[in-house]
Amino acid sequence: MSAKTRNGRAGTTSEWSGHAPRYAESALAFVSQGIHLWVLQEQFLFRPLTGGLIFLAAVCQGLLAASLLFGPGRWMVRFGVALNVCIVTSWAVTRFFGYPGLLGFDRLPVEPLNLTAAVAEAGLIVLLIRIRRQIKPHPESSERRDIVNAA
Amino acid sequence: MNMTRRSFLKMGAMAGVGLALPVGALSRPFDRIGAAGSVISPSVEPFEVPLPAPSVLKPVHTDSTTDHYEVTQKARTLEILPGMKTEVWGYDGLFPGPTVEARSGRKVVIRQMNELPVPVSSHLHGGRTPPGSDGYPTDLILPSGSGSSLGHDHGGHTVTTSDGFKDYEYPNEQRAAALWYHDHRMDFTGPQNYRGLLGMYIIRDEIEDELPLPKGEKEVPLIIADRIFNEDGSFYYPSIDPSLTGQGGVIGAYANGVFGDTVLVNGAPWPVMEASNTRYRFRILNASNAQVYDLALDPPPPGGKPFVQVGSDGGLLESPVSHDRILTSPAERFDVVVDFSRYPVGTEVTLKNLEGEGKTRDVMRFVVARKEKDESAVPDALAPRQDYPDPEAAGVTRRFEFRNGNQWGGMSTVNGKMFDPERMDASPRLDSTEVWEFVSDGEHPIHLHLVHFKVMSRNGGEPGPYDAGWKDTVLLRANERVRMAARFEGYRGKYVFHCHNLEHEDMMMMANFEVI
Repeated sequence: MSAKTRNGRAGTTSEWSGHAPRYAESALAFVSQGIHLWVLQEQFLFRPLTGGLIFLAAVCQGLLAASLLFGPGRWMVRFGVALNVCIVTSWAVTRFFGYPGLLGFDRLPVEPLNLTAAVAEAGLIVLLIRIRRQIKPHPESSERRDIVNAA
Repeated sequence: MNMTRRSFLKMGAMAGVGLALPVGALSRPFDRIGAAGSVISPSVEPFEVPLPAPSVLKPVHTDSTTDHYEVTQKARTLEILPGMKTEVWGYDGLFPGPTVEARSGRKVVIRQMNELPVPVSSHLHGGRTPPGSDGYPTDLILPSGSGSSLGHDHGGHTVTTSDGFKDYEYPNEQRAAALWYHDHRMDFTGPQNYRGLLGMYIIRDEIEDELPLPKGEKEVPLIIADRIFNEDGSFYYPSIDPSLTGQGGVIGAYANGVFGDTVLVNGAPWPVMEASNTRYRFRILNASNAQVYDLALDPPPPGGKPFVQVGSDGGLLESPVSHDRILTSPAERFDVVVDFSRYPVGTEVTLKNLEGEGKTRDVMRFVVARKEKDESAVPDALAPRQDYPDPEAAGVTRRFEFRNGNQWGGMSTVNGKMFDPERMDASPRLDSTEVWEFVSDGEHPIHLHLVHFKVMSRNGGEPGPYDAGWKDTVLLRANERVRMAARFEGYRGKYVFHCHNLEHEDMMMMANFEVI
């Protein structure tokens, strides 16, 4: 069994499995983006404000998913964590507390699709936090930090 | 900057997946929103089409206590606009549906059969009906042979279903009155009424029989409904999901109601009716989804008010009330007599909607075409003194605030809550009297199932001129407060009350009460 490596050559199973967490994260981000895109059209017609937020979430998850495929930097991982924490928190607040008086609706229903997205995003947060610890700082940025510290 | 193949691929993937895909997904809703504001119905010359009379439904069999009917809900192509074809969803394929003529105290059973591609639920509006036949929004008749999975999930709420047909039982233990039946499916009442699922249901009794009010061909139903038509003659309704099987509701711009640019009366655009110079009794039903009509006659007759109101939603008034105009919101009925003898023969009298603009300012026209002897009259006493509920006897007062969603987001609510079939919002005791206060932020016609009520006050003052008699629907203008008293009698069980602006209703401005 083999997999393509960074330079396009066939790699070993161990190289593939080394990338597996990233691919899993990417897959979860794609799942989340797919679900957001699926509901985007109806939501945008129905509630343009909510639709706009879903559009933003889909854009960000797409950027994150693509970036994760190619090896993300620390900033992208941080962005991914922050983004998904925001999305999951919004989901939980609108499902379990609601927005009384603000947008004119109370609690939104928990449905299979939005629950799937929330679970995928929660999983993504966990994986991103784990991978964040494994990513070494970029040498250039370390050097820069050293220079700043020295100054 | 050096661009490696890898970074090129990465940038390409991020641009494609992160930007192009979502932007592409937005193009369709953008197109629909753009198109929504630009649909204009084909031009129709007003006052050319004769006023049709809805057909009267014939029973399939009768026995000593009951009249049995069968109605098939189905699609049919009709000529509504001259020279154009419109597919309607109608009771027996008709728009409006056939009129049911019932007698007070004599039971009616209607077998409703569903040959439409979507679930339906039939509600007898104004009927004192047992809960199982009231047309609760999730009590659905599935399309014949569709099994159990066609677009009636309703967000996981519990639904009761009948496969293909359901027998609705109406005891008719109530006064003579003009009722109507219409679709009441949760989330889709607006589009399904719009496509034609509505018809009149008239109950008669001995008290009314004995009155010398105009009868026969001089008792005319006027079912007023506005619509928008596409260029090809089909109805235009801005559903989020036009198949009516997925997401309910309308495009945000129509969240406050779908208002048509073509006024139909009995299914004909701006019709004309030839009348003799005698009295006519008009059973006016506002069957529009959202439009309020402020009806007036142009020219007004010499010597006083043109409309003599003899009945309201719940039947005959104790005594007639004269009006210059009739203000009617969706689902309200006004039973009025117009005396055309006050006009010279040859006069053309236009029924106007003073709330309309442009073409929608006209509703229909009467032509006083001939002289005739008139033996009808409007007596000073119509119905016996009514036993209205006494608000002093009310053990409970409840308050309900009706608030709009808006075009940017949000659902319409009652007391800040969206409709939830499983949540009980009030539990009046059987035979108890309660005072309910309604408060509105916008324009909301509020309708209670099961009961008729008496409007006690409007904004702390006297009831309005159109609040006379028994009501089942009351119009609240923006920022109004109406108190009414109702006696919850008849049946124990679960019913709904809601705004009868059907787009508000579909967007969750509905709540439950259970008579216990």
